[in-house]
Amino acid sequence: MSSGLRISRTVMRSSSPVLSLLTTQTLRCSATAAAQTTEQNQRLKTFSIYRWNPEAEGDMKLPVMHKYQVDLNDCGPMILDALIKIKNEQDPTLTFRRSCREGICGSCAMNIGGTNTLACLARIDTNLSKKTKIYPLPHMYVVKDLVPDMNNFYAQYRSIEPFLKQKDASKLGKENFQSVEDRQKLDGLYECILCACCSTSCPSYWWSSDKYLGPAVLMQAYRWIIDSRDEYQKERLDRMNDPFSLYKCHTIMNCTKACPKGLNPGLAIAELKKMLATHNSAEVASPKPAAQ
Amino acid sequence: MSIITRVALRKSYGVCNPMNPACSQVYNSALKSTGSAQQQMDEFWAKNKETNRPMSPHLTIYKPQLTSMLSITHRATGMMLAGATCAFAAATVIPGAAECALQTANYLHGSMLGSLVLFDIKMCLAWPLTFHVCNGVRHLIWDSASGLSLSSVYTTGWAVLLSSLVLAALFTLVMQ
Repeated sequence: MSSGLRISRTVMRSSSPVLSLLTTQTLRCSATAAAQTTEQNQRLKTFSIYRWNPEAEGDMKLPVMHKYQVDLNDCGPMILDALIKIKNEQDPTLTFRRSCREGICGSCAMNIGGTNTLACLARIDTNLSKKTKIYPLPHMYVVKDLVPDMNNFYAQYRSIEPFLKQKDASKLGKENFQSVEDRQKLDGLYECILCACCSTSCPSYWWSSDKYLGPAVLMQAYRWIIDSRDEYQKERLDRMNDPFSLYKCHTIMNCTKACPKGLNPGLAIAELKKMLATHNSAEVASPKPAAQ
Repeated sequence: MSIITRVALRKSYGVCNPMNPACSQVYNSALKSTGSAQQQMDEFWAKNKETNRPMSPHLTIYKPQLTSMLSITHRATGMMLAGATCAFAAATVIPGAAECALQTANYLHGSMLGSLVLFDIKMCLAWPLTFHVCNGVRHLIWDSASGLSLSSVYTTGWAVLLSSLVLAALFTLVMQ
C-alpha cells in the first residue's frame, strides 16, 4: 500500500511541481486558521470519570477519578456521546457498556451527577463551570471502570420465574384470552428494561443485596402475579413470604425517582405488600388441613 | 415443513415440555448445565469475595434527594424518640432523676441565655416528635398504596417538613 502511494506522489511531483506546492501551502494556511478559530470558540466541559483497572499493579491498584475535557461544539448532546468521543479520541481504555443508544436496552446504566440514569438519555449539562461526575452503579462489584458485575441482579430476576406458568396442561398450544382491562393492569410494569437503575439507587438494596430482591425484580414479580393468564399466583406470593425478599423495602422511594423510563416500582411493591397481607390473612383464616 | 412432521413435533412438544409437570425431571436436568438461580447467586458471592474487585461508591456519591433524606430522618428521629422514651421511663424509676431534670429546666430559664436560644433548644426537643408523627402518617397512607406517584411523594414530603416545623414551633411557644 505504501509503495502505491509513493508512486502516485512521484507522478504528481513530476507533472506539476508548482501547482502541488501551491495546493500544499494553501491547505496548511487554512488548517492553521481553522485550528485557531476552534481553539477560541471551544466549549470545554470537564468530565470526572471513575476508573479502575483489574490488571493494575502497585500504585494503580485503587480506583481513581480521571478528568477529561470535551469540546461540546463537536459532541452529541448526551453523556454517552461524550463517553464515546473520549474513548475514540482521548483514552481508548475507558470501558463502559452500551448498545442501542436510544434508552431501550438498559446497557449504559450508570451514576451520572449523583443519580442513576441511562447515559444515552442523560443530557450533558452545558454549564462549563461545573464538572460532571460519572460513577458506576452504586454498591456493585466493579469489573472494570464503569462496568459492574450484574450477575446477582440477573440471578434474582431468574429466581422469581418471570414466565407464564399454567397448571392446566390442556391449555397448551391454545391462545390465552385476556380482557382489555386485564391487559391494562400490565401497563407501567412490562416496560421495564432491567437496567438496574432503581435497585442500585435503593439504600436497602445496598445493605442487603444478597437477600433483598430489590425494586426491579419485585416489580417484575408483581407483573407476573397480576397477569390474569398465570395460574401460579399463590406460589409466587409464597416466595415473598420471608423477612428479606420483599419486606426489606422501607418505602424510601429512591427507586421511582431514579427510573429512566418513568416507571413506579415503589407503587408495585406497595401493592405486593397489600396482596401478601390479604393472602396471609386468608391462610390464617382457612389453614390447610394437616397432611396425613 | 410437512403437516405430518408438524403433528409429530407438536405431539412430542406436548409430552415433553417445561410446562408439563410430568416432565419436570427432563426440564430440571436440562437446567443443570446453568445451575439454579440460588447456585448462581452463591457463585456470584464466592467469586467476588475471592477477587480484589472494589465496591462502587454509594453513600459518598449518591445525590441527597427528598425521598432518601426524609426517610433517613424518619429513622433517626425514631431512634431519638425511643431514647427519649427510655430516659423518661428511667426518670420515673430512678429516685431524684425527675427533680434533677426539672431543676435543669428551671436553671436554663433563669440563666443569661436569650429567648431565641431557649426557643432553639426547645425546638430541638419538639421537632423530632412532630416530624416523626407527620411522616408516620405519610407512611400509613403509603401502606394503603395511595400517594405513591413521584409528584405525590414530593408534595407530601414538603408538606410533612413544613407542618412538622409549624407544629414544633406551636408546641414550643404554647407550652411554657
